Amino acid sequence: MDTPTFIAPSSRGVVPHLSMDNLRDHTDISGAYVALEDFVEKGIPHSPVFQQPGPLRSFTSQPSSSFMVLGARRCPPVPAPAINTDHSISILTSMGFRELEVNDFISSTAQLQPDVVIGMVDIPAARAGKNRVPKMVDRTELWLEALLRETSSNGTPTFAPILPVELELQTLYLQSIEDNAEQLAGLAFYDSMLVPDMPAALQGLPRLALDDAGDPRKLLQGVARGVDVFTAVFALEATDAGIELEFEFPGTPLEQGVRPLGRDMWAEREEMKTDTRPMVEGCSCYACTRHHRAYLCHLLSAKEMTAWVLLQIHNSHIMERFFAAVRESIARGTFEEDCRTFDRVYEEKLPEKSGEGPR
Amino acid sequence: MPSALAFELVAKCSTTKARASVLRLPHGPIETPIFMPVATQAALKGLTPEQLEAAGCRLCLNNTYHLGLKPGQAVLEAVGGAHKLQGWRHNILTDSGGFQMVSLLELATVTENGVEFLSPHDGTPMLLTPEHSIDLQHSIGSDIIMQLDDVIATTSPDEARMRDAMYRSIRWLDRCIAEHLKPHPSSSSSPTETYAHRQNLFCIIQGGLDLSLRTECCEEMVKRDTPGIAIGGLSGGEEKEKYCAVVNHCTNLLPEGKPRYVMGVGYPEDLIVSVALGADMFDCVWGTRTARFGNAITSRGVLKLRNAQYANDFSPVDPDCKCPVCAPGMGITKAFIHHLAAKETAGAHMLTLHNVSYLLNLMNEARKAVVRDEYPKFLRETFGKWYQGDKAKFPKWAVDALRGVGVDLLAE
Repeated sequence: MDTPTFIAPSSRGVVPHLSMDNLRDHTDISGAYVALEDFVEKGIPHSPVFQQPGPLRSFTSQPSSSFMVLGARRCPPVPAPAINTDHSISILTSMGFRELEVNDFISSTAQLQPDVVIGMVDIPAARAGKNRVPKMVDRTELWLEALLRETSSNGTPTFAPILPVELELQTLYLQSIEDNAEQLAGLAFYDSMLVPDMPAALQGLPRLALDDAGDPRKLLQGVARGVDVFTAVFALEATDAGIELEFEFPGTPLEQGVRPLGRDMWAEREEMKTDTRPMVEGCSCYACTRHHRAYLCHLLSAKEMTAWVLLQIHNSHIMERFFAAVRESIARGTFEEDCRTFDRVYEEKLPEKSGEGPR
Repeated sequence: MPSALAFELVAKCSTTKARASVLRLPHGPIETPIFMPVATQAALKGLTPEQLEAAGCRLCLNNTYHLGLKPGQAVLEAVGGAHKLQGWRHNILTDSGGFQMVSLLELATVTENGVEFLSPHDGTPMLLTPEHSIDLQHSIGSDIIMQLDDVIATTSPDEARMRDAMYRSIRWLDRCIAEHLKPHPSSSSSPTETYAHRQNLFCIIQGGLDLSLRTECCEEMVKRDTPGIAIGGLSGGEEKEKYCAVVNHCTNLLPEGKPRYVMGVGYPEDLIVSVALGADMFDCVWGTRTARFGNAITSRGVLKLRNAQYANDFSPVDPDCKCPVCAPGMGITKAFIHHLAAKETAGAHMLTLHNVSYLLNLMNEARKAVVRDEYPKFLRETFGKWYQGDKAKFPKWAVDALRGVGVDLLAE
């Protein structure tokens, strides 16, 4: 997998809105983040994913080329009301809130065989107080050590989670990670601002950002900080809101003014209802080569699910192209300069979400 | 009247009344018997036009009523019709809009002038006349357009109203034809070219379950010489025996050289029995709607994949199916669809794609059997698989209807 890149936060093992044939035929997404909580409504080991002979990849019929990252909770997780304990966390399954035992999570990796498993974290639903933080750190450390005992024997590459608390508060934990560095395949950041502050011994490990960049500028800042893989939730949220993304890297300056990062098709569906130009002129995705703005506006207006399918195909394409261009720029040695160009070319923010989701 | 199609009968079953044909339409040839998926609002629930095309669909439906509301006639005119709106290179059939009015709007009333209804947007009174329906379908640009008819539920006990509706449907057909024979605005090179040279108007036989009314309607409408003929007013909850009797009766009276379309039919059993009774074309939303409830139409019958028994079933949805969902390379299982059903739209999209593919393919297989002159064998094998060989479970109406056209489903 070439980095920097993004993986799709999946829902129940699928990239939202995309049937497997559309995913195969019209996207080139490098991989998916998959949450165990999406698969364990009947518990471990009774849930179907553990009843089949193959790994998680075959249960979700993911192509073998797709990079699959397994975590305990969705990205981003729905806050769970119950408190975590020393040996379990509160999760949300399709049948309601449940407890996930740390040992069950750990033992599941042997069968699920993801390309990467992320150590379980103790992050409370409410903001952690002064006394809660040390407990978060202690538990996460113990859970990671237990996970490594299992994955070092079953061979699952393991990423250490880095907690979204100040670095000083997890110093001891980071030291233990350093001690285990040889067993680790990478680091997963719940707050990717901490990436540059990692100790030298951990600098060689790949870095996955689980926090949402929110917009392409912040993606670029993340790249500059040294993030290798993003989860880029905002692109999915744009799709749900009826927003098409239209940025490229570094972008071509206009003679006057700045380019938009995206367009709210929902909000502009009246103005564009007879506009037979592609959503983004020159875009080579399926939605832009075979369909036009008028169709998208009609589908959104009629709340036809095909609208979100086309938007997802398009937005994924924009993200794929963006990261490909970032990689080229880094290889050329012009990344910093290109980032400055991007800053000049595009407006600051994505359009506000005013549309209505598909559900 | 002029038409924009050519109907070529390719084969006839030597036992039943089943036929195979090639129907050449403005956007390419189609083969009958055919199932036509319903893309109500210019999209088939969550599928792209490309997926529909890849499934083998070459003729799909749009609903005039829905397109008239959204995106509306002005947008359709500006964009250049429904084909351009949805990026669909193949054929489109549109209904007249009348059925939707009567079935969706409680306050619709039928007068001689048309269907009066209150706008679902703002509640203002509106009127759909035969002329307006045809005009709207001209703007849509569909390859096959339907007359406005007066649709009464076949289960209605009001015989007088049924008779009136049948006669009114004939009068409305005349008004539809007059509208359809107007010169096409872009026909400057050939001033006599009418809409009828570009789009095909089908009449709709009405008359409820009363065979004498159906006879009269068939005779009157056949005289009008539309390029194709629909049998309407069925699939409204009537007994299957009566449904079959009406279809069988009408096809006896219809000219052999025109396509016959039974409206609103789409259960697999109804499809292959109706083919045996001499019908060529079908449409129904059931297959796509039931997909959204997690039900798969398969060669082994309809499977309710939300049921717990499929949670750990790691076999393909239908091992005999070649659609992208069932293709071995994809590795999609019943368990995975169960995992997604009613929770992720992508799960619904995949089951929609499968169900549409199944129904399209069922009609392709029926056609091949007619061409080989093995349609009775096809009927026995297909019913046998659906019911796992248990003939006691074959529906009596189907056994009886097929016996009427020379096939004994229960024979060894």
